[in-house]
Amino acid sequence: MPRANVELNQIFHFKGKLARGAGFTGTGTDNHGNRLAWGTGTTDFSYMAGEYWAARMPQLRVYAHI
Amino acid sequence: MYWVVPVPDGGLAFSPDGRTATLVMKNVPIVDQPMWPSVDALATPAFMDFRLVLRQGSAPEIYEDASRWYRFTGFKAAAQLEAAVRVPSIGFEFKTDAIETSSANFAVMGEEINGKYYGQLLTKAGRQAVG
Repeated sequence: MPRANVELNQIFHFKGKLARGAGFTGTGTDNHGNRLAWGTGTTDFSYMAGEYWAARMPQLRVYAHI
Repeated sequence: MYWVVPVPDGGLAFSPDGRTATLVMKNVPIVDQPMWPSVDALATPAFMDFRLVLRQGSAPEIYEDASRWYRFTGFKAAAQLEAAVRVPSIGFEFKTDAIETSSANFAVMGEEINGKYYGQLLTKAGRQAVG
């Protein structure tokens, strides 16, 4: 789980922008009109935008963890 | 959910000062698997739209472990999310309330270097120390 002082990235051989959030919670509505809570302590999202090394060459991409 | 997906061009945008990031994705194929990690957890194809907004704070954060070859340099952040999920095979749809009503208990944003790129930093630092 993302938290302070752990490796946040899911790509190895990487340099670039990274953000990670965890513990998302909120409320919402389903298509039957039911009000529901969503999210838990492990609901996490992130982005990783930069260069990583794969197939013996640098790759420039943006990925999301969902 | 628990996997990594490529972001289409334009999906990730930063404010001019770089302190706010907005990630928008639509019709992302996912798997609805509420009983995971049970071995026999039913997996149902689903789709999700979402908008993730992170706002950089002022408290610096640096996470580094030379034995694992990574360094994160950034700031604590505030993160919010809104999403809509569709599970066509069972006719289920769910939409979160407006993004302002969501919250996250952990968020950081910044830059990371790991693996071979981190190794290059160590090598460069070693050369400078020797030279």
